Amino acid sequence: MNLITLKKISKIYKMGKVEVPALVDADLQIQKGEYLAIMGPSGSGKSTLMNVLGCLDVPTSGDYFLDGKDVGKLNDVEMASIRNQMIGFVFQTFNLLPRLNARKNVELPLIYAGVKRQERHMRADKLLESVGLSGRAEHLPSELSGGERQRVAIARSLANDPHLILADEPTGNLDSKSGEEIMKIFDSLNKSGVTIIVVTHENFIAEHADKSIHILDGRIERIEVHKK
Amino acid sequence: MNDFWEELVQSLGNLKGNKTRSFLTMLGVVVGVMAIIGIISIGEAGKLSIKKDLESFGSNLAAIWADKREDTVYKPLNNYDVEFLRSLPFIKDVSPTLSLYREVRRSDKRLDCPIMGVSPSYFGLNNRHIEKGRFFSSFENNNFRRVCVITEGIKKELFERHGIDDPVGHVVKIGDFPFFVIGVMKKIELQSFLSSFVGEEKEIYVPERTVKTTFGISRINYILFGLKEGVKPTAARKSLTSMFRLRKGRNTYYGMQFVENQINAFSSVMNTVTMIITLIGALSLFVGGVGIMNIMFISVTERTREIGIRKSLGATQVTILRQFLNEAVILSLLGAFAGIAIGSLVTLAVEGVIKWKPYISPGAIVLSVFFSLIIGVVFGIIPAKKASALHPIDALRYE
Repeated sequence: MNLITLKKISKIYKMGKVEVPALVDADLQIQKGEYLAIMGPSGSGKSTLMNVLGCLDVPTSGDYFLDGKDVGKLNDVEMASIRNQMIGFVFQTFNLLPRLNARKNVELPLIYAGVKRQERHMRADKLLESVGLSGRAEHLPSELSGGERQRVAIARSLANDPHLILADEPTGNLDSKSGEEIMKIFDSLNKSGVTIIVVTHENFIAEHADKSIHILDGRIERIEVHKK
Repeated sequence: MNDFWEELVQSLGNLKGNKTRSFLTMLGVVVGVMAIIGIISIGEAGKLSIKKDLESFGSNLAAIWADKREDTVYKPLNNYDVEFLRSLPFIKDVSPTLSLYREVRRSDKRLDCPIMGVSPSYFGLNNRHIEKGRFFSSFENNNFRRVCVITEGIKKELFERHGIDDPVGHVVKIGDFPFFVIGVMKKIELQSFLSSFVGEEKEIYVPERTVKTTFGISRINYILFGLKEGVKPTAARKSLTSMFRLRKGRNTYYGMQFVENQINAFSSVMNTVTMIITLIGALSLFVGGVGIMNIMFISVTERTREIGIRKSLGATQVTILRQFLNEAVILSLLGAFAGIAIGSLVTLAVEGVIKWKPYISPGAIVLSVFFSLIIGVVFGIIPAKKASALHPIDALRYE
């Protein structure tokens, strides 16, 4: 069954009077459990595609079905609930809240989901343990290395057992060793059944995925299947 | 998000992260609340103490005196007027008051002082108490006895300075006539600024009939009288005016004063003053509120990215709105509590200096908490709305 179906999705930005198409008539189907890379040079529209997929941005036209739901027809609360329950985000710049320690950062999606304090605490610690940060729960992001911060972010993205992990250049700010460790986590997550979409412009990252979608000038150019 | 406690903890954390700024933001509210607490408390305490002082004179006390206006003639009050007043159903007690100056001597000490000729009911009407000895009786008044009740000042000047602690039983000469001292009056104890008007009394009280026969004076300066319980001063004034016109002639005029009216007039002046200064305090609170709004706007802009992150993790518009509103309300309420604490201390200190009973108005505390809450909500809602309306991707991209 398709987790994601995109039909003629376009996103056009208006810069004054000039219209800049960031995404043009994108058609895409993603199965549950797939491991996908979105590739393309910067400015190609790959981030826009990811933002639309993650319900962070609304397309100008086209239909987006996520797990059977027509995303275009959802209101703010339903969108928030999808971001909270179905999708986990991992960003290039980690996007942790600097004043909250690792555990509190991981707890955020759980708070929005209405999970009780004690269970929240327990689940956050378990998640941190699963990304190899069991001793770091009380540390602030500023007290952690880049790789550790990204692992906190991954733990946070997994908080509500999402169907889909969206990672936007997750290794872009990391050294190659830490980057490789992060990718290993994604690999094992995918093996456990989580759908993963990674945006990257680097081949060795894309090779972790089952297939790569190449984007150029807002259009899906080709889909490449990786042999493993 | 239904974990209100968690929301509060996070809001507090955010405010704590910007201690200096949070403090400066609260300052406007702190000052406003301080002003409100201080002014209302001191105003109410003053009102209470002055009211109590005025009431200590006897709140149903009144006086009437002969007066002259352009189109009237002066016609003094006499004994028949005293008896007439005594006979009226709405009047409880009456005392004529005759005053004169005479030299008072005891052995070789001399003193010029006012002599007050009053009837025995004068002391009760004025709520006066005896310290030593007794007041004179109707019997003594009716039989023109030469007895007197002296006040604190006379006791000091003529007796204590010369080694006599208890003047009762001693004789003083008023003019050429010897009088027995039968009592010493207790001082008037006042708490309000009225006490500075009263000062140390240096009068000698003598039965009014004795004054008439001994000194040959019959002119009554004024008649003190007490209204019966529940009689309104305005009604009493109206009927007394017309009755005295009938008695004394249409071309006469009699002045009257009622303590109860004085109390009311004073209260209404105090109320106006309190209201005006409270308004100034409220204005300062309002300015404090604008300060909060200003800082909240800056905070929303600074934390645009945070808002984006929170939205990407599932925060709804309502959640974000509540987060920022919470912070505004916490700021204003913390300001209010600080203002109440500091304001109360300052108020107690001021009341201590002017020797009033310590008093903090509970109404002022309720009022300032309520005001601050409103200010927090009203001035917090616009920035909070701005924050909640941010589109997640725009917020996330914000640098």
